[in-house]
Amino acid sequence: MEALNSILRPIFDATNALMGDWPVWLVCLIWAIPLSVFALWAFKKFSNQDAISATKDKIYACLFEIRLFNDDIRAILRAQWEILGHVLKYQALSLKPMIWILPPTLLMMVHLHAFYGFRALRPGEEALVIATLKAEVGNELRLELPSGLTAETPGVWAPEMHQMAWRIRADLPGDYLLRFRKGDQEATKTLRVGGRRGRLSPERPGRDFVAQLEWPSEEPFGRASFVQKINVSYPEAVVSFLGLEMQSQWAWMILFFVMTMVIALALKKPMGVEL
Amino acid sequence: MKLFLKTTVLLLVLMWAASAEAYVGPGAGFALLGSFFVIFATMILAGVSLLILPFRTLWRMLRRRSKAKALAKRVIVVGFDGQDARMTEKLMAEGKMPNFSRLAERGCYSKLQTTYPSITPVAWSTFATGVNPGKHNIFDFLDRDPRTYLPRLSSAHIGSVERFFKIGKFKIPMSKPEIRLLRKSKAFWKVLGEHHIWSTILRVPITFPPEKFYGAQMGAMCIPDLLGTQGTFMLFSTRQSDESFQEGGMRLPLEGEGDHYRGKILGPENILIKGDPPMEIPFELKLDRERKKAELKIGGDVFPLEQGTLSDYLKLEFSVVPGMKVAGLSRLMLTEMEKEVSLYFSPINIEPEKPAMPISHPSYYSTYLEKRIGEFATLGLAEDTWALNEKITDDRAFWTQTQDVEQEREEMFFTALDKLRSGCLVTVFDATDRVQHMYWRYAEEGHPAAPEGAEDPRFEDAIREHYEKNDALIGRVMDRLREDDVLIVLSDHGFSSFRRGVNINAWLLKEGYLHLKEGTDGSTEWLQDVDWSKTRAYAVGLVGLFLNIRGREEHGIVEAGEEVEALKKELIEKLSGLRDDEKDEVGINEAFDTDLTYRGPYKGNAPDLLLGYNHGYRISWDCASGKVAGKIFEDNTKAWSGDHIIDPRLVPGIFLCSDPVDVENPHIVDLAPTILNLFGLEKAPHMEGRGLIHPASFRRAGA
Amino acid sequence: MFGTSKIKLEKSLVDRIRKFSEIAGYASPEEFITHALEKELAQLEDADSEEEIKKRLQGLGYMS
Repeated sequence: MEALNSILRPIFDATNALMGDWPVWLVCLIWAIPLSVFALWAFKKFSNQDAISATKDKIYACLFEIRLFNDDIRAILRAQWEILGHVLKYQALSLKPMIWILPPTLLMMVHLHAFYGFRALRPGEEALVIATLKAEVGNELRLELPSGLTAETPGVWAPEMHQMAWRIRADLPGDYLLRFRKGDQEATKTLRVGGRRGRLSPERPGRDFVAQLEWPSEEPFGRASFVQKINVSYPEAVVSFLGLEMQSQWAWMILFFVMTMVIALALKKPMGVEL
Repeated sequence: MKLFLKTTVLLLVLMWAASAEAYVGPGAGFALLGSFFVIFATMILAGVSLLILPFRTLWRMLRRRSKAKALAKRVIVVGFDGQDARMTEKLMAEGKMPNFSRLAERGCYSKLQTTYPSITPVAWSTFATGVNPGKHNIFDFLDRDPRTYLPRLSSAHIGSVERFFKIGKFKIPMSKPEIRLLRKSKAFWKVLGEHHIWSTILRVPITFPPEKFYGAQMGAMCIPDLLGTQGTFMLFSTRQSDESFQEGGMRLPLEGEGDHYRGKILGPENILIKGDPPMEIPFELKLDRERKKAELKIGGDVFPLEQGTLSDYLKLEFSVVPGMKVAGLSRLMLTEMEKEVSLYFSPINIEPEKPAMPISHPSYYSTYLEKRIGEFATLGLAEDTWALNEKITDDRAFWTQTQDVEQEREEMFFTALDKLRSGCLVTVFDATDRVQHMYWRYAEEGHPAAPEGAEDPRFEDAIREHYEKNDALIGRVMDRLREDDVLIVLSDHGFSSFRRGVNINAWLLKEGYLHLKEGTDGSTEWLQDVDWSKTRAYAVGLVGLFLNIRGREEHGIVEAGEEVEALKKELIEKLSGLRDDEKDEVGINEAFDTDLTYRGPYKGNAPDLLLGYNHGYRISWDCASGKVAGKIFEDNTKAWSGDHIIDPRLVPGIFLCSDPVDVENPHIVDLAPTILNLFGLEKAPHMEGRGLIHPASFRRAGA
Repeated sequence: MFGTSKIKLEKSLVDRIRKFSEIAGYASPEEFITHALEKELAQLEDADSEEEIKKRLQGLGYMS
C-alpha cells in the first residue's frame, strides 16, 4: 500500500499545487471529469450493456403497467413485485463494472480528502495531538515541540486506550515536525500551521492496511515502532458553493459526488453507455 | 472516515456493489439512486392508487347501469385475417389442425358470413361496431373525392399543417396536423368501457387514429409509415435505371466503387424548413464479398448485413432541428453484391417507443409494448408485398418478415392475456392474409404468376404451413384458458385465387359509359384521361363502381332519381354474368345495388354498384390505379396472386367458439352484440347483429 | 380526436337530434351532429392535391 501511496503522493501534490487556491467546487469539477469518463468507460466495457438495457426496459414496462391498470390493485402490486426483482437483477448486473471502478475511485478520494477535508491550523488556534502506543509506556513518552508551537497542557495518559494526549497551540505559520521520544526510540508527525492549501495529515497510520489506505499522506510507522498511530485534530474544511457555506470534512465529497453524477449523466449518451 | 473505508473495502471484498455504488458516485451511483427512485415512485403510485381506489369503486357503483350477470369473466377474441373456410375445413378434416378441431368439438365451428365487400377494412369495421357499412362508413380501402374523382384512403384523414410562422428559412407550425378516423358508429369496446369493462384491442384493422375508451389499444391498418405513405420501400442500387417502380418503392443511387459505397436515406419532409425538403441520413456500405457480408456505417454505428438475409430492425433517427428527432424502424437486405450492388430498406415503420404520431391508446401504450416485447412493426400493412411483387426481395425474405411480425403479435397478445384479469382481449393476426396473397400462385397448378411452380420448393406449401401455425397458436391459447373464459376465433373473410384481372373502366369505355378526352388513350393513371362531361359511370377503388351523378360528382351528368335507377339496372344486367371469353369463364357473378345492400346514414358515400367477381377474378392492377386503356380481361402475373375482393358469398370466413352457439349461419356483424351479451350487456341500440349465445341456454363447456 | 370542446345548442334541437339519431342509424347524437357538420364542411374545404393523395396511397398492396 505504501509503495502505491508513495507513487500517488507526488502526483496529487503536483496537480493540487497547480490548482493553488482555486475554489473547492472548481477543483471538484476538474477531478470529477476524468473520474466520470473513466467510470463510464469501465461501466461500458465491463458490464453486460444489453442485459442492463433489457432490465431497465422491464422496469419501465412495469411502471407503465401501474399507470395502465391503475384501478386494479392486484396488477399494481404484481408490477411492484416484478420491479423489485428487476431492480435486484439490475444491481447484480452493475456489480462487475463496480469492481473495476471502485479501487481507482477510492484511491483518488482518499488523496483528495487529505487536501479538501480539513484545513491547516491558524496561528493562535489550538489542536489535540494524540499518540496511540502499542504498550503501556505512557509515562516514558516525551513530546518535543519545535519553536512556533506551544504545549498548552502536559501529556495526559489514558491507560485503557494506550493514548497520550496533548493540547498544543500554534503560534507561527510553518510546516513542523513533532518528535515523540521514548528512551532512545523516536517517532515523528507532521503538523501544518497557515500557508497555502496543501496536503494535511490528520493521522500518521501504523502498518494496518485499512489505516494506510485511509491516511495516505505520511509514511506509516514501522513494524518495530512503539507507536500505533498519531493523530492531529485539524479543523474541518469550509466549503462554499453558490453562496452556501458548509464546514465539514465531507462537504467537498458531497460536491464531488454530485458533480460526478451530473457529468456522468451528461456524458452517458455521447459515450454510448447504458447505465 | 475509517468506518466508511472499512465498510467500502468489506463490501468490495464481498463483491456486493449495491451499496458501494453510492460511494463511487459517477453514473452508477446515480443508477442506484435511480433504482431507488423507481421503487420510491412505484410506492407512491401504488399508494395513490390505493387511496383513490375506494372513490373509484364508489364512482363505478354510482355510474353502473343495469347489467345482468356476465356469462364470462374474460372474452378472448383471436382474429386471423383472411383465414379461408374451405381451406380450414379441408385441413381440419385431414387432421392437420387438431387444435381447431378440439375447439370445434368443445364449442362450435361454422363458416362466418362476411360483409359486402369481403375486404379487410370493411369486415373488421363491421366486427367492431356491429353494424353494416352504411352505418360505419367504410366501404373499401379507398373512397373517392367527388370533386376530383381521385381516390383517397377511406379509413383516416391525415391533414397537413396549413398555418406557419416563418423566420428566414425556417417555418414554425402554428397548428397540429389533423388526423381523423373516418370509421363511424361506435365500437363494442367503447360500449364495454361505458360499463367499466376493460378491453385490450391489439392490431384490429381501422383503429388508426386511436379512439379513447376504457382499455388499451394498439392501432393497425392504416397506420402510415414515417413518410406518410402506406409503405414505401427504398432500393439503393448501383444499377443505372430511369425506370421507377410501379408502386410502393423508391429507387435511389448507391455511389462508390470497389468495396465502399455511399447513399442517403430519404426520410419524411421537414415541414419546419422552407420548401419541405426531405430529411436525410447518409450511410456508408463496406462490402466483404468473400464472406457475402457487409457493414453499414450509419450515424456513428456499425450495422452488420448478410447477403440475401433480412436484417434485424435498424433504428433510423432523422434530425428535424438540433435536439428534435423523428425515429423509424426499417429492416434491410443486401440483395446483390457482385458486379452491381443493391441494398433494400423496408418501409420505415413509425417507431413505437416514441411514435411520431399517435398510434395507440393511451398514447404510452405503444411505448409500453416496446419496453415489454422489444421493437415491433407498426405500419398498418407491415409486410412488404410490393418489394416481392417487384422482385426486389424474394419468397424467403417475405416469409421471414411475415413470420417475424406474427411472432411480435403473438408476444403482444400473450403479454396482454397474462395481464387481463377480466374484460375483453381482441388481437388480429394478419399474416394469414399476407401469406395467401403472395403464395397462392404455388397452391394451384398453372397460376399465371408462377407457371413453373415455386423456385424454392420450401414455399410450395407455405399456405398450409401457415394454417398449421395458426392451429398451434390456438393450442397455446387454449392451454391458458381459465374456467370462466370464452374464446372466439374468427376470420373476416376467406380467400381465393387471383388469376385474371378485370379492367372495369376498359369495359365501361367499350360499352360507351365512359369517354376519354380527345387525343388521349386512357393510359394515364388516376382517370386523368377521362372526359367527365360525357362519362356516366367509372370505377375507383377496388370493389365497385360509381355513377357520375349531377350534384354529387363535380362534373356529374346522370340525373338523380329515375335516370340513376335505370342506369344501375342496365349496368347490373350487363355486368352480372360477364364472361371472360378467352378463358370461357364467368368473370363477374353478380353486380349489387348498394342502395339495397346498405342501410344507414353513410350509404351515400358507398360505390353505387358492388362487383361480385367469380373465383380467380378481381379488379385488374391497371384498373385499380385508374388506367382505362388495355384489355378488359388479362392475366395476373404478379406475386400477389391470391385475393378475396370477390363475390362475398364465395369467401366466407370462419367462426369458432369455446362454447356452442344458438344461431345458425353466423355473420361477422353478430360478433359485437354477442360479446356485449357475454358480459351481461344488452345489444347496443345502434347494432344490427344478433347475439349468437342466448344467456338462458349458455352452459359452460364440459359442465 | 385530440380532445373535445363544448358547443351550446338549444335544448329543443338537442332533443330532436336525440330522437332521430337512433332512427337514422347513428350510434350517438354526437355522431349525428358530427356527420351533419362534416357534410357541410366538405362543401367548403379544399380537396387534397393529386400529389398528396398519390403519396398517401403509395404501397397499398391491392393497387398497382
